[in-house]
Amino acid sequence: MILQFAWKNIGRNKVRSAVILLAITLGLTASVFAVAFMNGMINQKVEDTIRIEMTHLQINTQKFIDENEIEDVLADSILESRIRSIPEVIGVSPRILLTVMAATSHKTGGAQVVAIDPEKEKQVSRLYTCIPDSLGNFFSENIPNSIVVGRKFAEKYQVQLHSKIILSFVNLEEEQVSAAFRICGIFHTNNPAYEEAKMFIRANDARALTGIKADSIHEMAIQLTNNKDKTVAKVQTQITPMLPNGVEIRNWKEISPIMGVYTGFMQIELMIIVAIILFALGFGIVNANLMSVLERKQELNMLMAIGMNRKKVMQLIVTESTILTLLGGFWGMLIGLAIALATGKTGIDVSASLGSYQQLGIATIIHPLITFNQFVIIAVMVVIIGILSAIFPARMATKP
Amino acid sequence: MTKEEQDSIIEINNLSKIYQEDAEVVKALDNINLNINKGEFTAVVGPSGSGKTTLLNMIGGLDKPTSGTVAVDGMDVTKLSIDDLINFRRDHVGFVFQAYNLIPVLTAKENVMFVMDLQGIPTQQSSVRAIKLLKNVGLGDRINARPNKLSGGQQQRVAVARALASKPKFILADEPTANLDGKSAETLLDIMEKMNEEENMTFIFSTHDPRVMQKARRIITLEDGKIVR
Repeated sequence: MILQFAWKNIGRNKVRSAVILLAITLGLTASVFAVAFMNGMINQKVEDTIRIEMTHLQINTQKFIDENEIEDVLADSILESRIRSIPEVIGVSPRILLTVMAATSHKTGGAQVVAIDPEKEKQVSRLYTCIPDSLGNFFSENIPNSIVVGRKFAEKYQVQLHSKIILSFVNLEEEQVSAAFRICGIFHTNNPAYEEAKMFIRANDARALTGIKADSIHEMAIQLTNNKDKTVAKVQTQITPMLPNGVEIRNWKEISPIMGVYTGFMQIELMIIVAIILFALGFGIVNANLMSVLERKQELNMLMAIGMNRKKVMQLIVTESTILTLLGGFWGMLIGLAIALATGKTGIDVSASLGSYQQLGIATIIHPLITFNQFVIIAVMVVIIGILSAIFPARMATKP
Repeated sequence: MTKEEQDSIIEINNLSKIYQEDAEVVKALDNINLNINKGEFTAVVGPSGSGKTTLLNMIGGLDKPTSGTVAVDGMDVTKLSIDDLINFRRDHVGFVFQAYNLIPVLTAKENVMFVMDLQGIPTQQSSVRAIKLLKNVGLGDRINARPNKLSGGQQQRVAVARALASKPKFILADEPTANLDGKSAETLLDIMEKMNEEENMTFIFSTHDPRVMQKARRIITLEDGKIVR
């Protein structure tokens, strides 16, 4: 009876009900889209970090992590094949890492060289896809002493494709070594700091210059099938017993705690934004309910006069509010989801308004994304808001 | 116990209601003593402000007295809590208001069923009774009409059917004919008189209407909160 009566009451003032419905629908559309947009930003950053800059897991000697010395190497021959046999592992790339002075005809500065086997590196990093056709390639031609640098580096050091760069570093004998490299590719990412600091050469060239043996590396980068914390932890646990003493395996959050903090902060920011939208919406619903209740005060008193107890009157008002909130919430979430899915495919170019975010490594084309859990959390919050925002007006209605 | 005491359905003893308005004290009811027996067709009359509506509100448990008691079937309703009073009204009192006060979004039948639903009577049962009551008040062909599609007289007849729906001990009707034209008022009074005669239903009216006074078998006259006749 309450449900039927509440439904009929909603139809009583069609304009007001329509306005409330519209407000809730718009609020929820905005909430779902805000979540999807922010999530897209976070996801893109995490994805870029893992798939381009960092990989899911990295193995180094503890000493190399602490001191970053060229002689702190680990042997990769058996380890690499054992790690490759883990089903969740899609790629393993042994790396030699060198801290160098890079000099061009315009500028000299520090950088980190990642010396790799290009084919193996392609298994763990999408960086090779970040080189526009006009800016070369990722070691496609077998030319010795080729180097791939970032766009920001190229801008700052005023070099271009095929320009020469002199790299100077200390070899295993602790002698200063210099060698000339020619740029074979210039990569573009969403992270200018990464573009400026990282450069890539072939491992063979690095070995020839440093004296590091064929089976020795500084780092083993491992890429997994997915980004789930559970998968990462599982593989990390599986690999740990394979490692000799003094060798550590770290996941991407351990390698870059700032990224963990960053994604955590973004999630909090996301929830605060949604809470603010829903809170404001809640006040709107309270106001509308209050108007509806005060307009009907005489009728509600009459209902109590003929025997409708206060609990039932409260139920009636809460039901009316909940129906409206659920209806508006349903449409709002549906529209929000549709917009998120549509823009998720095409992406939204925010370079005009959020261009400065690129300095933080955030893409300027955002692909909104919403997870099932986030969707369910918003749905639950909508129901709670619907009920809570009716309680005060309902209490007012039943006040003797 | 006399026959009259046995049949007494409402016993009012030393009932007073005083309103304090700033420095002014208004005695709406002043030491009322009154018994109403089952099956009475009673009109409470008197000039405006004489306390008619206040008296009906006290009997119906809509308001609390300053002092005195109102016993319905031996139960002192002045001692009941707000929630118990609501249940008391639902189960024991039928109300007919001057302004009909039907629920605008419900049909005539649903309005009549409403109180029975509150009593927890199954829908099928309450539906059958609602149709029967609406037929009894001459609205068998308007059961699915909403109040805005009914005339004032028809709405008040639905209100009477609603008041009877819960099988109350008595019906309180506050100026039931005040908003009706002569013919509608006559029809309504005939219906209520018929209910009183056939079902021994107790009716208590407050009224200014001479037609109601003419039909009433007992007239209680109030002046300045006191029963004068």
